[in-house]
Amino acid sequence: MRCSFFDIMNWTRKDLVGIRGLSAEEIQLLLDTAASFKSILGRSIKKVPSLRGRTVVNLFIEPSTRTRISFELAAQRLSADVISISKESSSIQKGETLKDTALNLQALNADFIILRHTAAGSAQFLAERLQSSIINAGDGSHEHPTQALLDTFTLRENLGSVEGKHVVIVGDILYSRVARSNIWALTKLGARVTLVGPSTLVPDMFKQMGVEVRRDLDAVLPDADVVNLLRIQHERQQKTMFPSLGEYIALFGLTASRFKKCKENVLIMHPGPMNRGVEIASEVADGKNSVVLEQVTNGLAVRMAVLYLLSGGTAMTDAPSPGDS
Amino acid sequence: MMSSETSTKSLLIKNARVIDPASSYDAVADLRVHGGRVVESFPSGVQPKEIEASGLVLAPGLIDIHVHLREPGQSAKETIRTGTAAAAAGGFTTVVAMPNTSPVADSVDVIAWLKQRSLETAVVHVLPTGCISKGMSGELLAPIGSLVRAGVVAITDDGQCIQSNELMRRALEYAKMFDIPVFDHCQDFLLSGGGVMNEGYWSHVLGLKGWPAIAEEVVIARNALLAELTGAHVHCQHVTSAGGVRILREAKERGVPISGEVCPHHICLTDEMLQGYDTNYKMNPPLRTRGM
Repeated sequence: MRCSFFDIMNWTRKDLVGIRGLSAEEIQLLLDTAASFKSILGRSIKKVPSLRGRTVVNLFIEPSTRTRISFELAAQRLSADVISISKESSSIQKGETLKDTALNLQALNADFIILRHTAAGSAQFLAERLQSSIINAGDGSHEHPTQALLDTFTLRENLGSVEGKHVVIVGDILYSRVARSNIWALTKLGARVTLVGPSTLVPDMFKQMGVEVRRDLDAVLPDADVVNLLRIQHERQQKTMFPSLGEYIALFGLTASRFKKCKENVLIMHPGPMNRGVEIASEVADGKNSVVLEQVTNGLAVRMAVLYLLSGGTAMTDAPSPGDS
Repeated sequence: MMSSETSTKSLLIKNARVIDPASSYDAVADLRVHGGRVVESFPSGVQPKEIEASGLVLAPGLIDIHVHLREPGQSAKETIRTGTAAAAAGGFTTVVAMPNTSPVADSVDVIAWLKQRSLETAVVHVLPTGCISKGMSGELLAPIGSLVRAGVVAITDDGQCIQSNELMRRALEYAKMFDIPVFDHCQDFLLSGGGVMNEGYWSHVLGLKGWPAIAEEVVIARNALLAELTGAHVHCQHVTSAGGVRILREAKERGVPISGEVCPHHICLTDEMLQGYDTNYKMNPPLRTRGM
């Protein structure tokens, strides 16, 4: 059965470069579509023909496990032809520019280019220059829209809705594209967002994005519906940002004892890869409140929804059956 | 024949907005030039060449004290001919050329070459500057006395701000002997880090590394203190922030020999322009935030 809302609300964008430019309705449409696709993932035949004959290229100029495999599987489940390219296996190694590589992929009729790149703005750069649909799979410290969508999806699925929920994001916000995309998605959907971390990694400037900034994790935890822990990104870190990992753990690590301050039904999230024993203790990561692996499963449904809507698929409340074309 | 010869020596420029900062004159007027001088009236019998200049500004030639003519070594970017032609088109009759050429202008040879090349190809006056440090590497002083004799009007390591306070102090003490100003591109490289735009709301949204105004302001403050200590004139290049202006104002009020310059784009444009990642708005120092 179709909901009347979806009959008027259809996806019109060619690309998904970030959450900041999306409306709350567009985010809801993506999440609702993902919910339909999630039901497919439980079937014995996990494939639909929505993207049959379309070509999806994963262009990953920065390492990734989860995101790349998730996008590959999502495209395969939609019956697309999928190619994955890494920096090492491409002519970018020989000095070819990103633009030229992408134009060549377009010349080979790539319908979608999923880009992971170290440079902020790279997805938008391609989106403005190519006819192919560009999906941002993480651009530097800028945005990681599908991660925010899968986090929001997981939150909505567990808590019923996002509106009014208190989400605490802890850690390295300054360098985190996951944090930025989450801030936009959550605030647009009416959640209350609190960022916690050292002032060097969580400058007060972030308050201007419509969130609270706190330093005292212990005081914030009892009021949190969701705690999303971000990885301390050694590869993007400057030496002067905090004194030592030991001090970081003492002040901002979600240790087993600190976890006891949380609500009983708090959701513990982490975008991965985890630094166990740093931002999150193993007991917490593997505990009953952790939805870390659910996030990964939901990522597949969310990415199928993104590919489906960008390909011109119409909004739906029922999952397409294996016979649909 | 007689009249055509006269016309090249005599000009009547009509209806121009005549601006003369020296006498604070600013009005629409006619201007008469005879024999290379501004005159009140022409001698009888002279037939001046007439130029209709309504809507145009007539002023003494402007001076740009910060240009890059890129010769020698980077003529793919600019040449003395193209750079000075652009200056002339904008009303500038004198330009001061920065020394970050290839090779850098840290020797008499480069200055001599630049002066010769300017004679051959420049369409406005070109005044060279020399480096503060040898190879512009911020370690040893360049032969400043010889550079002054060769014709430089100032020294600067433009683009490569002297990071060592000790070397800057020595450069100022030494330059004071020759009564030339020291120009400084004010940037603490550790504070600006790998920054590519102003550190502020937009760098946080865009996930780009910030180059904070404080990286400029600490060097302006350093320069004010060293100018006061040495008595040498420091000129702070392309100042971008209100904080920098405040330090300059306070130092000047105390009589410190310090000055600053500003670029039009730093006044007219702000870091909001970068929200589409358009690298035309990327520059060093970066565009700052909107003023209050």
